[in-house]
Amino acid sequence: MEGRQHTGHPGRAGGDHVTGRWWRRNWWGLVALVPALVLAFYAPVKDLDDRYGAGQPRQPIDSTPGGWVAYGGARMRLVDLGRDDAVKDYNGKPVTLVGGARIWRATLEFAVQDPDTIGGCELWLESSGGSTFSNGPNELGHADVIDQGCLPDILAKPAPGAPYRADSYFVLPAIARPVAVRVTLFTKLPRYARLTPP
Amino acid sequence: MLLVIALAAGALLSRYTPDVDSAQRPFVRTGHIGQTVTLPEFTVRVRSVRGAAVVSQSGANHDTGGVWILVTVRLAALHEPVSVGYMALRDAQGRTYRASGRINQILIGWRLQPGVPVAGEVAFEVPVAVAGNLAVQVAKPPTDLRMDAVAEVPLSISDSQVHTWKADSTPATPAAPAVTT
Repeated sequence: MEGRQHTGHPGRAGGDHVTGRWWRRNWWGLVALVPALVLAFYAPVKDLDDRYGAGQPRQPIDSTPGGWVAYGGARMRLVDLGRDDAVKDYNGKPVTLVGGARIWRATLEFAVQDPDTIGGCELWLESSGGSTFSNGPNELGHADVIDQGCLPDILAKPAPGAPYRADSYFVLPAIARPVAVRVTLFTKLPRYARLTPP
Repeated sequence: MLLVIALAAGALLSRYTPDVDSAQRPFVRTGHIGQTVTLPEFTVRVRSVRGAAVVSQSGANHDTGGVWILVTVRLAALHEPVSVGYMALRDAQGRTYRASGRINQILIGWRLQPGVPVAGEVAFEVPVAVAGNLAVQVAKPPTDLRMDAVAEVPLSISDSQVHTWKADSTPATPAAPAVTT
Protein backbone atom coordinates (compact mmCIF):
# COMPACT_ATOMS: atom_id res chain seq x y z
CA MET A 1 0.00 0.00 0.00
CA GLU A 2 1.08 3.54 -0.70
CA GLY A 3 0.87 6.72 1.33
CA ARG A 4 2.61 5.52 4.44
CA GLN A 5 4.62 8.46 5.73
CA HIS A 6 7.80 7.92 7.65
CA THR A 7 8.25 10.65 10.18
CA GLY A 8 11.03 8.97 12.09
CA HIS A 9 13.96 6.86 11.09
CA PRO A 10 13.20 4.84 7.95
CA GLY A 11 12.21 1.30 8.93
CA ARG A 12 11.34 2.16 12.51
CA ALA A 13 7.85 0.92 13.23
CA GLY A 14 7.30 3.42 16.01
CA GLY A 15 7.78 6.29 13.59
CA ASP A 16 4.98 5.29 11.18
CA HIS A 17 1.53 6.75 11.06
CA VAL A 18 -1.29 6.75 8.55
CA THR A 19 -2.25 10.05 6.92
CA GLY A 20 -5.44 11.17 5.16
CA ARG A 21 -3.49 10.87 1.95
CA TRP A 22 -2.95 7.18 2.69
CA TRP A 23 -6.72 6.62 2.97
CA ARG A 24 -7.39 8.50 -0.28
CA ARG A 25 -4.82 6.52 -2.22
CA ASN A 26 -5.75 3.08 -0.81
CA TRP A 27 -9.51 3.20 -0.42
CA TRP A 28 -9.93 0.83 -3.36
CA GLY A 29 -7.77 -1.75 -1.64
CA LEU A 30 -9.90 -1.60 1.49
CA VAL A 31 -13.08 -1.93 -0.57
CA ALA A 32 -11.61 -4.91 -2.45
CA LEU A 33 -10.70 -6.50 0.87
CA VAL A 34 -14.36 -7.12 1.69
CA PRO A 35 -15.16 -9.45 -1.27
CA ALA A 36 -11.70 -11.00 -0.90
CA LEU A 37 -12.48 -11.98 2.69
CA VAL A 38 -15.93 -13.25 1.67
CA LEU A 39 -14.35 -15.43 -1.03
CA ALA A 40 -11.66 -16.63 1.35
CA PHE A 41 -14.28 -17.97 3.76
CA TYR A 42 -16.74 -19.09 1.07
CA ALA A 43 -14.29 -21.20 -0.93
CA PRO A 44 -13.45 -23.80 1.76
CA VAL A 45 -17.10 -24.09 2.82
CA LYS A 46 -18.16 -24.58 -0.81
CA ASP A 47 -15.38 -27.11 -1.32
CA LEU A 48 -16.50 -29.09 1.73
CA ASP A 49 -20.10 -29.05 0.54
CA ASP A 50 -19.04 -30.17 -2.95
CA ARG A 51 -17.01 -33.05 -1.54
CA TYR A 52 -19.92 -34.19 0.61
CA GLY A 53 -22.44 -33.67 -2.17
CA ALA A 54 -20.39 -35.71 -4.62
CA GLY A 55 -21.24 -38.81 -2.60
CA GLN A 56 -24.93 -38.01 -2.28
CA PRO A 57 -27.71 -38.54 -4.83
CA ARG A 58 -28.38 -34.91 -5.67
CA GLN A 59 -28.73 -34.79 -9.45
CA PRO A 60 -31.74 -36.79 -10.67
CA ILE A 61 -32.08 -37.98 -14.23
CA ASP A 62 -35.85 -37.91 -14.40
CA SER A 63 -37.89 -40.24 -16.55
CA THR A 64 -41.23 -39.54 -18.09
CA PRO A 65 -43.94 -41.76 -16.49
CA GLY A 66 -42.85 -45.31 -17.33
CA GLY A 67 -40.20 -43.97 -19.70
CA TRP A 68 -36.64 -45.09 -20.29
CA VAL A 69 -33.63 -43.40 -18.74
CA ALA A 70 -29.94 -43.88 -19.58
CA TYR A 71 -27.77 -44.19 -16.48
CA GLY A 72 -24.53 -45.97 -15.67
CA GLY A 73 -24.16 -47.46 -19.16
CA ALA A 74 -27.63 -49.03 -18.98
CA ARG A 75 -31.17 -48.11 -19.94
CA MET A 76 -33.86 -48.59 -17.34
CA ARG A 77 -37.50 -47.87 -16.67
CA LEU A 78 -40.15 -48.50 -14.03
CA VAL A 79 -42.71 -50.94 -15.39
CA ASP A 80 -44.92 -51.37 -12.35
CA LEU A 81 -45.20 -50.09 -8.79
CA GLY A 82 -47.86 -51.36 -6.45
CA ARG A 83 -48.73 -52.95 -3.14
CA ASP A 84 -48.12 -56.66 -2.82
CA ASP A 85 -50.41 -58.22 -0.23
CA ALA A 86 -49.71 -61.77 -1.40
CA VAL A 87 -46.20 -62.14 0.00
CA LYS A 88 -45.81 -65.33 2.03
CA ASP A 89 -43.12 -66.62 4.34
CA TYR A 90 -41.20 -69.86 3.83
CA ASN A 91 -44.00 -71.77 5.55
CA GLY A 92 -46.55 -70.47 3.09
CA LYS A 93 -48.20 -68.15 5.58
CA PRO A 94 -49.05 -64.57 4.54
CA VAL A 95 -46.56 -62.02 5.79
CA THR A 96 -48.31 -59.41 7.90
CA LEU A 97 -46.65 -56.44 9.51
CA VAL A 98 -47.84 -54.85 12.73
CA GLY A 99 -49.02 -51.26 12.72
CA GLY A 100 -50.33 -51.25 9.18
CA ALA A 101 -46.96 -51.30 7.42
CA ARG A 102 -47.33 -52.41 3.78
CA ILE A 103 -45.22 -54.31 1.30
CA TRP A 104 -44.65 -52.65 -2.06
CA ARG A 105 -43.17 -54.24 -5.17
CA ALA A 106 -41.40 -52.35 -7.93
CA THR A 107 -40.78 -54.01 -11.29
CA LEU A 108 -38.00 -52.42 -13.29
CA GLU A 109 -36.85 -53.17 -16.82
CA PHE A 110 -33.20 -52.92 -17.77
CA ALA A 111 -31.29 -53.10 -21.04
CA VAL A 112 -27.52 -53.38 -20.65
CA GLN A 113 -24.67 -55.19 -22.37
CA ASP A 114 -23.42 -56.76 -19.13
CA PRO A 115 -25.83 -56.78 -16.15
CA ASP A 116 -22.91 -57.18 -13.75
CA THR A 117 -21.88 -53.57 -14.46
CA ILE A 118 -25.01 -52.39 -12.63
CA GLY A 119 -25.17 -55.27 -10.16
CA GLY A 120 -24.00 -53.01 -7.34
CA CYS A 121 -26.88 -50.60 -7.73
CA GLU A 122 -29.07 -49.51 -4.84
CA LEU A 123 -32.80 -48.94 -5.13
CA TRP A 124 -34.78 -46.44 -3.10
CA LEU A 125 -38.50 -45.91 -3.06
CA GLU A 126 -39.35 -42.23 -2.74
CA SER A 127 -42.60 -41.24 -1.04
CA SER A 128 -44.69 -38.15 -1.61
CA GLY A 129 -43.44 -36.78 1.71
CA GLY A 130 -39.82 -36.98 0.57
CA SER A 131 -38.83 -39.97 2.69
CA THR A 132 -36.85 -42.79 1.10
CA PHE A 133 -37.02 -46.54 1.70
CA SER A 134 -34.42 -49.14 0.78
CA ASN A 135 -35.11 -52.36 -1.09
CA GLY A 136 -34.64 -55.78 0.49
CA PRO A 137 -35.62 -54.58 3.99
CA ASN A 138 -34.83 -56.63 7.10
CA GLU A 139 -38.56 -56.80 7.79
CA LEU A 140 -38.87 -59.23 4.85
CA GLY A 141 -36.00 -61.44 5.95
CA HIS A 142 -38.38 -64.37 6.42
CA ALA A 143 -40.47 -63.66 3.30
CA ASP A 144 -40.34 -66.03 0.36
CA VAL A 145 -39.42 -63.39 -2.19
CA ILE A 146 -36.31 -62.67 -4.22
CA ASP A 147 -35.20 -59.06 -4.33
CA GLN A 148 -33.36 -58.84 -7.65
CA GLY A 149 -32.18 -55.24 -7.45
CA CYS A 150 -30.85 -54.48 -10.93
CA LEU A 151 -29.99 -58.04 -11.94
CA PRO A 152 -31.91 -60.54 -14.08
CA ASP A 153 -33.34 -63.74 -12.62
CA ILE A 154 -30.46 -65.93 -11.48
CA LEU A 155 -31.45 -68.65 -13.98
CA ALA A 156 -32.03 -66.24 -16.88
CA LYS A 157 -29.32 -65.41 -19.38
CA PRO A 158 -30.54 -62.38 -21.31
CA ALA A 159 -28.67 -61.66 -24.55
CA PRO A 160 -26.37 -58.61 -24.32
CA GLY A 161 -28.53 -55.51 -24.58
CA ALA A 162 -31.80 -57.46 -24.42
CA PRO A 163 -34.34 -56.10 -21.92
CA TYR A 164 -35.00 -58.03 -18.72
CA ARG A 165 -37.22 -57.35 -15.72
CA ALA A 166 -36.35 -57.35 -12.03
CA ASP A 167 -38.56 -57.18 -8.93
CA SER A 168 -37.68 -55.39 -5.72
CA TYR A 169 -39.57 -55.16 -2.45
CA PHE A 170 -40.02 -52.36 0.05
CA VAL A 171 -41.79 -51.88 3.38
CA LEU A 172 -43.62 -48.59 3.94
CA PRO A 173 -45.91 -47.26 6.65
CA ALA A 174 -49.59 -47.33 5.74
CA ILE A 175 -49.79 -43.58 5.17
CA ALA A 176 -46.81 -43.40 2.78
CA ARG A 177 -47.55 -42.90 -0.92
CA PRO A 178 -44.64 -43.87 -3.18
CA VAL A 179 -44.05 -41.64 -6.17
CA ALA A 180 -40.77 -42.82 -7.73
CA VAL A 181 -37.95 -45.33 -7.62
CA ARG A 182 -34.40 -44.05 -7.42
CA VAL A 183 -31.52 -46.09 -8.83
CA THR A 184 -28.07 -45.16 -7.59
CA LEU A 185 -24.64 -46.41 -8.56
CA PHE A 186 -21.87 -45.42 -6.19
CA THR A 187 -19.50 -44.58 -9.03
CA LYS A 188 -22.06 -42.35 -10.74
CA LEU A 189 -23.08 -40.21 -7.78
CA PRO A 190 -24.24 -37.48 -7.40
CA ARG A 191 -26.30 -38.41 -10.48
CA TYR A 192 -29.04 -40.97 -10.10
CA ALA A 193 -31.96 -42.27 -12.14
CA ARG A 194 -35.39 -41.23 -10.89
CA LEU A 195 -38.01 -43.47 -12.41
CA THR A 196 -41.71 -42.67 -12.19
CA PRO A 197 -44.45 -45.25 -12.69
CA PRO A 198 -46.50 -45.41 -15.91
CA MET B 1 4.72 -5.34 28.27
CA LEU B 2 2.65 -6.32 25.24
CA LEU B 3 4.43 -9.64 25.15
CA VAL B 4 3.55 -10.35 28.78
CA ILE B 5 -0.10 -9.45 28.17
CA ALA B 6 -0.22 -11.68 25.07
CA LEU B 7 1.33 -14.60 26.96
CA ALA B 8 -1.06 -14.13 29.88
CA ALA B 9 -4.05 -14.00 27.54
CA GLY B 10 -2.85 -17.15 25.78
CA ALA B 11 -2.40 -18.96 29.09
CA LEU B 12 -5.91 -17.99 30.19
CA LEU B 13 -7.41 -19.12 26.90
CA SER B 14 -5.52 -22.39 27.06
CA ARG B 15 -6.61 -22.98 30.63
CA TYR B 16 -10.29 -22.24 30.26
CA THR B 17 -11.09 -23.57 26.79
CA PRO B 18 -12.29 -27.21 26.61
CA ASP B 19 -9.75 -29.92 25.83
CA VAL B 20 -10.21 -32.15 22.78
CA ASP B 21 -12.07 -34.88 24.67
CA SER B 22 -14.48 -32.38 26.11
CA ALA B 23 -14.94 -30.33 22.94
CA GLN B 24 -15.66 -33.40 20.84
CA ARG B 25 -17.83 -35.24 23.32
CA PRO B 26 -21.11 -36.73 22.06
CA PHE B 27 -24.35 -34.80 22.26
CA VAL B 28 -26.27 -36.86 24.81
CA ARG B 29 -30.05 -36.69 24.94
CA THR B 30 -31.54 -38.34 27.98
CA GLY B 31 -34.94 -39.82 28.69
CA HIS B 32 -36.57 -42.37 30.89
CA ILE B 33 -38.12 -45.77 30.35
CA GLY B 34 -41.22 -45.42 28.20
CA GLN B 35 -40.22 -42.01 26.84
CA THR B 36 -39.26 -41.43 23.21
CA VAL B 37 -35.84 -39.85 22.76
CA THR B 38 -35.44 -38.19 19.38
CA LEU B 39 -32.05 -38.12 17.68
CA PRO B 40 -31.45 -36.44 14.30
CA GLU B 41 -32.05 -39.60 12.27
CA PHE B 42 -34.12 -41.90 14.46
CA THR B 43 -36.03 -42.22 17.71
CA VAL B 44 -35.32 -44.49 20.66
CA ARG B 45 -37.73 -45.73 23.30
CA VAL B 46 -36.66 -48.13 26.03
CA ARG B 47 -39.69 -50.21 26.86
CA SER B 48 -38.53 -52.51 29.62
CA VAL B 49 -35.59 -54.27 31.21
CA ARG B 50 -35.15 -57.71 32.67
CA GLY B 51 -32.25 -59.89 33.73
CA ALA B 52 -31.10 -63.46 33.76
CA ALA B 53 -28.26 -65.74 34.80
CA VAL B 54 -28.45 -67.65 31.52
CA VAL B 55 -29.32 -66.50 28.01
CA SER B 56 -30.47 -68.92 25.35
CA GLN B 57 -30.31 -68.43 21.61
CA SER B 58 -30.53 -70.91 18.76
CA GLY B 59 -30.61 -73.80 21.22
CA ALA B 60 -27.40 -72.82 22.99
CA ASN B 61 -27.26 -71.64 26.61
CA HIS B 62 -24.83 -68.90 27.65
CA ASP B 63 -24.11 -68.47 31.37
CA THR B 64 -22.14 -65.63 32.86
CA GLY B 65 -19.92 -64.75 35.81
CA GLY B 66 -21.95 -61.56 36.12
CA VAL B 67 -25.55 -61.08 35.11
CA TRP B 68 -27.31 -60.69 31.80
CA ILE B 69 -29.30 -57.50 31.30
CA LEU B 70 -31.89 -57.65 28.52
CA VAL B 71 -33.27 -54.31 27.36
CA THR B 72 -36.29 -54.03 25.07
CA VAL B 73 -35.72 -51.13 22.71
CA ARG B 74 -38.04 -49.62 20.12
CA LEU B 75 -36.32 -47.85 17.22
CA ALA B 76 -37.82 -45.83 14.37
CA ALA B 77 -36.09 -44.08 11.47
CA LEU B 78 -37.32 -40.59 10.70
CA HIS B 79 -36.76 -39.76 7.01
CA GLU B 80 -34.46 -42.32 5.42
CA PRO B 81 -33.18 -45.81 6.17
CA VAL B 82 -30.70 -45.92 9.02
CA SER B 83 -28.92 -48.58 11.05
CA VAL B 84 -28.17 -48.30 14.74
CA GLY B 85 -24.62 -49.46 15.30
CA TYR B 86 -23.97 -48.76 18.97
CA MET B 87 -25.71 -50.00 22.09
CA ALA B 88 -24.01 -50.08 25.46
CA LEU B 89 -24.66 -49.87 29.16
CA ARG B 90 -22.87 -47.19 31.16
CA ASP B 91 -22.31 -47.72 34.88
CA ALA B 92 -21.97 -45.13 37.65
CA GLN B 93 -18.20 -44.92 37.13
CA GLY B 94 -18.61 -44.15 33.43
CA ARG B 95 -17.47 -47.58 32.29
CA THR B 96 -19.31 -48.91 29.27
CA TYR B 97 -20.38 -52.46 28.47
CA ARG B 98 -21.14 -53.03 24.81
CA ALA B 99 -23.94 -55.33 23.71
CA SER B 100 -22.63 -58.86 24.06
CA GLY B 101 -20.86 -60.41 21.13
CA ARG B 102 -21.54 -63.88 22.49
CA ILE B 103 -24.95 -64.00 20.87
CA ASN B 104 -26.39 -62.68 17.64
CA GLN B 105 -27.69 -59.16 18.29
CA ILE B 106 -29.97 -58.75 15.32
CA LEU B 107 -31.36 -55.34 16.24
CA ILE B 108 -27.90 -53.78 16.02
CA GLY B 109 -27.32 -53.13 12.34
CA TRP B 110 -30.98 -53.66 11.44
CA ARG B 111 -31.79 -51.25 8.62
CA LEU B 112 -34.75 -49.25 9.90
CA GLN B 113 -37.24 -47.91 7.38
CA PRO B 114 -38.85 -44.50 8.03
CA GLY B 115 -42.12 -44.73 9.93
CA VAL B 116 -41.80 -48.48 10.43
CA PRO B 117 -40.76 -48.91 14.09
CA VAL B 118 -39.00 -52.08 15.15
CA ALA B 119 -38.62 -53.42 18.68
CA GLY B 120 -36.41 -56.15 20.05
CA GLU B 121 -34.26 -57.16 22.97
CA VAL B 122 -30.56 -56.43 23.27
CA ALA B 123 -28.47 -58.43 25.75
CA PHE B 124 -25.59 -57.08 27.84
CA GLU B 125 -23.29 -58.90 30.24
CA VAL B 126 -22.24 -56.88 33.30
CA PRO B 127 -20.74 -57.51 36.74
CA VAL B 128 -23.34 -57.99 39.44
CA ALA B 129 -21.85 -55.11 41.46
CA VAL B 130 -22.68 -52.48 38.82
CA ALA B 131 -26.05 -53.79 37.64
CA GLY B 132 -28.02 -51.58 40.03
CA ASN B 133 -26.87 -48.33 38.44
CA LEU B 134 -26.90 -48.51 34.67
CA ALA B 135 -28.02 -46.43 31.72
CA VAL B 136 -28.42 -47.71 28.19
CA GLN B 137 -26.80 -45.71 25.40
CA VAL B 138 -27.90 -45.88 21.75
CA ALA B 139 -26.20 -44.22 18.78
CA LYS B 140 -25.81 -44.60 15.04
CA PRO B 141 -22.02 -45.01 14.64
CA PRO B 142 -20.71 -48.43 15.66
CA THR B 143 -17.57 -47.05 17.31
CA ASP B 144 -16.59 -43.41 17.05
CA LEU B 145 -19.17 -41.36 18.95
CA ARG B 146 -17.28 -38.06 18.84
CA MET B 147 -19.67 -35.15 18.24
CA ASP B 148 -22.46 -37.56 17.42
CA ALA B 149 -25.90 -37.84 18.97
CA VAL B 150 -26.38 -40.41 21.73
CA ALA B 151 -29.61 -41.36 23.45
CA GLU B 152 -29.17 -42.28 27.10
CA VAL B 153 -31.86 -43.82 29.27
CA PRO B 154 -31.25 -44.80 32.91
CA LEU B 155 -32.49 -48.26 33.82
CA SER B 156 -34.31 -48.63 37.10
CA ILE B 157 -32.87 -51.83 38.50
CA SER B 158 -32.84 -52.57 42.22
CA ASP B 159 -30.21 -54.67 43.95
CA SER B 160 -32.85 -57.20 44.94
CA GLN B 161 -33.86 -57.61 41.28
CA VAL B 162 -30.24 -58.23 40.34
CA HIS B 163 -29.86 -60.94 42.95
CA THR B 164 -33.15 -62.53 41.93
CA TRP B 165 -32.05 -62.63 38.30
CA LYS B 166 -28.64 -63.98 39.24
CA ALA B 167 -30.18 -66.80 41.28
CA ASP B 168 -32.63 -67.84 38.55
CA SER B 169 -31.03 -70.34 36.19
CA THR B 170 -34.02 -70.43 33.81
CA PRO B 171 -32.62 -69.43 30.41
CA ALA B 172 -33.97 -66.19 28.98
CA THR B 173 -34.36 -65.95 25.21
CA PRO B 174 -33.87 -62.43 23.80
CA ALA B 175 -36.91 -61.30 21.80
CA ALA B 176 -36.06 -61.02 18.11
CA PRO B 177 -36.69 -57.70 16.37
CA ALA B 178 -40.16 -57.28 14.92
CA VAL B 179 -42.21 -54.48 13.44
CA THR B 180 -44.20 -52.80 16.16
CA THR B 181 -46.52 -49.88 16.75
